Amino acid sequence: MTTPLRLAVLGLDTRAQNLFRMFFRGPCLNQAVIVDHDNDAEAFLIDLDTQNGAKLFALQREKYPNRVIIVLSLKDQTPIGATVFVKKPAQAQSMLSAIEKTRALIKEMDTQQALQTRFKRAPEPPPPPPLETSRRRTDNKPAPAELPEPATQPADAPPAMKVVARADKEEMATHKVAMLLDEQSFKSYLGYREDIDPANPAQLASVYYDPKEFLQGHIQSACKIAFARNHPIRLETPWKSITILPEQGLVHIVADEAQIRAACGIPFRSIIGIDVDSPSQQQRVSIKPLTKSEFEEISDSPHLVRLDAFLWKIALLTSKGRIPQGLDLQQAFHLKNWPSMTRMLLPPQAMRIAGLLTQQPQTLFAAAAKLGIRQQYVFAFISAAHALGLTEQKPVVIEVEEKPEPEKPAIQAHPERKSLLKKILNRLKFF
Amino acid sequence: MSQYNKIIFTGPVGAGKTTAIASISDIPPVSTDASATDMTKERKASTTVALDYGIMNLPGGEKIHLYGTPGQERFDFMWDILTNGGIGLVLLLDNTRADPFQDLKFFIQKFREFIDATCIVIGVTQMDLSPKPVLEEYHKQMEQFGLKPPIFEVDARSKTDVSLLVQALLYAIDPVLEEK
Ligand SMILES: Nc1nc2c(ncn2[C@@H]2O[C@H](COP(=O)(O)OP(=O)(O)OP(=O)(O)O)[C@@H](O)[C@H]2O)c(=O)[nH]1
Ligand SMILES: [Mg+2]
Repeated sequence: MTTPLRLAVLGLDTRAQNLFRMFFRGPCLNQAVIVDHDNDAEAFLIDLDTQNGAKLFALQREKYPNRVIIVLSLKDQTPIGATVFVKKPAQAQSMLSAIEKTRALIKEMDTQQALQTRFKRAPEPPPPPPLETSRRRTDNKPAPAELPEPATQPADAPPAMKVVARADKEEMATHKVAMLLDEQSFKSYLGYREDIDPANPAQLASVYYDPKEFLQGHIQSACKIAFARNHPIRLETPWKSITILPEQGLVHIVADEAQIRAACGIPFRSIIGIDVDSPSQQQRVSIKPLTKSEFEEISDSPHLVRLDAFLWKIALLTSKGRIPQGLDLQQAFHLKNWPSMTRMLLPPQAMRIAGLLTQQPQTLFAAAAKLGIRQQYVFAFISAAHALGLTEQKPVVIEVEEKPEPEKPAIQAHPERKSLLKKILNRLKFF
Repeated sequence: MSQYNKIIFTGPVGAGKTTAIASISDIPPVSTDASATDMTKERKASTTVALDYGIMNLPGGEKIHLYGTPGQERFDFMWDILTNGGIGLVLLLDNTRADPFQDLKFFIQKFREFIDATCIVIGVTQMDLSPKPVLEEYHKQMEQFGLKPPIFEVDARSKTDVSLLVQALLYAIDPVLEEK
């Protein structure tokens, strides 16, 4: 059972405060309480619409840069820093959701701090992933070894990957962390691509990319060799060395999310010479089997991550919502199995895409249309799934008229059930 | 038919049913754990002898009831009553057990009718302790039942893991389900 979130309020008179106390106790199911002193509070609640609301906010932000502030206002607001916005009049539902978000943010910041301390001794401390761009610019310099983002990226320095979800245990961090890219962060990391018209050959061609021109291709060939020989392999690149342990299903790489993302985002030949780690500019890429002592050196390194999650992520970040050459967009796609989504970097709508494509093969255009989502998300998902060998292509079956969905059509006939399932989903997204 | 408002958690002794329900329940789970005797004794200190029960409150006052079956197989007479009106099945399997595929088979067969009428997701727990068998092998095992459910690595102590698993259950029932 969760203990109530302790909030200190600003900009509310005593009467309003008392109202809020009752509101929290009753409709908000005791999920938050008001405390009198800043020091007792886990987060703050501010009404921006009062006369000096904005000033109070600024002061509080300055005094407690790392504390979450729940902001109430009649107008839509996106105040800086770790904030959660609630539009007035505050409804129980929106307040509850704000409380959950606040909890998640607090947890997230705690994790970041914990990670920072954990990695302090590592050769390249990852920059603390801040919550949003505005904070990053003031609080953090980019990591020295970070590569420039390609030109297609939005001009804004994208925030480091947002950890929406995390494991509750202090364990090998990278093993346990599931990450979720929401639409906003997907756009800022991977850019925006318009939907294409499958009948337009030029548009169709523009959506393909060749993994071989990217780090992805090198990693994939190294994996192939490692698995063929069933022996640990080290891929030396001018960027970093990447060690693949096929038997354990692990990969060793000393790089944070932002570095990996940047390295995936530009053609491999552009990586050469940029890396500060190897000023000698060794141009070569080499693959060699690992010696026993090299293996022992890394065998309990904190930089070991799951190979499947890594390959998935590399493909996702490289594709940016394009499709690797060799796949035929005119054909139907079938997802052989659900990936283990608790351990993967998830693009927006990943679960729905997985659900649909395991049930019924169809073109990705049809899938996007059926789900009412952008093609880019479907392409990103499929690129990642393809990298794990989870996709199959099939000729499109000419549909002899809208035939009923083969599986579990029952739910469609029950609008009230459907609405219940939606409510459960929204509830679950809080976690 | 009783109301459509239950999610059933099942799986062998120690798979994490009680823990998983506690992870997402809004109330402290009502659990009828007792000191383990005989068969379960070596594995853990306490086991659920009747049912686990938790609630997820939804806006508008609706409630979703979370039920966990007792791990010890001899209590399976209750399962039919339990599944009536269920939304779907969450099967948790413990990767450290001697033969998790045997467990898989047992539970799929026991709940076959319910699974066919609804949907199933599988969470494999304790993979941090025993990484093998890998999930791919679980997928392969499922082929014999003609099922292709979501199978995730799950730590029942992680809210996020349990939440994602249950989300997958809902999307497996209806992928077109929008979020809002
Ligand atoms: N290391 C580890 N421990 C876990 C994991 N999932 C659950 N546990 C622990 O496993 C133990 C057993 O979990 P329970 O929730 O009691 O299992 P159960 O299914 O209710 O067991 P019965 O009631 O006996 O059927 C608890 O101590 C959990 O904290 C996991 O993924 N890894
Ligand atoms: Mg139990």
